[in-house]
Amino acid sequence: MPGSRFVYVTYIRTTPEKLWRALIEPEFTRQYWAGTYQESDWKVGSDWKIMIPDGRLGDSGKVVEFDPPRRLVLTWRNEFKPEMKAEGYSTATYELEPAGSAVKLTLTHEIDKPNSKLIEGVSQGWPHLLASLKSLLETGESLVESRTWPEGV
Amino acid sequence: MIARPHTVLVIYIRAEPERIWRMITTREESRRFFYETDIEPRAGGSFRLLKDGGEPTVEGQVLVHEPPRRLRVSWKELSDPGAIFGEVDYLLEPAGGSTRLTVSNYDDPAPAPEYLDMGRKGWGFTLSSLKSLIETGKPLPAPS
Repeated sequence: MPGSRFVYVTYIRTTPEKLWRALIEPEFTRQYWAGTYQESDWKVGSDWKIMIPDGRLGDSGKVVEFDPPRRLVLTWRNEFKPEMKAEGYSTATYELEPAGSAVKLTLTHEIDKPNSKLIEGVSQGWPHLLASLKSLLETGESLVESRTWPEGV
Repeated sequence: MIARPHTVLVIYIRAEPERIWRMITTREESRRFFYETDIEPRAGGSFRLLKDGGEPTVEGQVLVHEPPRRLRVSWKELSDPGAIFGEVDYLLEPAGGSTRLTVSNYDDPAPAPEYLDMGRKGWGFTLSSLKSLIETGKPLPAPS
């Protein structure tokens, strides 16, 4: 049975080390990822979660691979939308490759289910938050509309 | 027009739609992050992408011309003698402080998976460079 898959490629003028930190450290993610932050000790096999600013759990999973500043693989289940949570665990893979004075970031988010609501949802979210991350690293300011958790969600 | 895109790319840029429209459709701006784009600004007009020496690499026709919201062109790669006309659609929408640019690629039949992958990388670079150029004044260096 075919699964669902979202792939996004973007290039950011920064170093792999800075991009790596910006992807996982709360002081960065709060600025471009709707005010959220991640909690983990970032060891392979450890728990990982995204916290919504109002205290709810956003997503959770395990750290599958942690190879800074090259490759991060997480299992990923949505925790705040019942229809997405019911789909169970997806896999998100971040790959960072130097590309001249920029870094190529490839994000793959997939699940072993056809027509996944989770993958449909993250397909809307990733381009916006990764664009905001790129703005933050290149200009010092994230995109204003991506800084706070949307009302009513 | 072909009904379903095989690839859809989305990026958010801190700029008004008018600014992004100008970057995409004028010769002097487009060449800073992509091929020089030579376009007759009307539906039915001609559309060409020119290499540095002025030689065309893509040619087609303007299918939809609605500044600063939507542009759709037919698209034939001249380097590929077997190529048929595909279509590329640019949609610009305000998104709460930024502009969402959606680029949809249409080919019938859809290209093989390895070409889709190349296309996604190529457009990923082009749109990233466009965003850097608008937000920082500098495009990204061409990948080696």
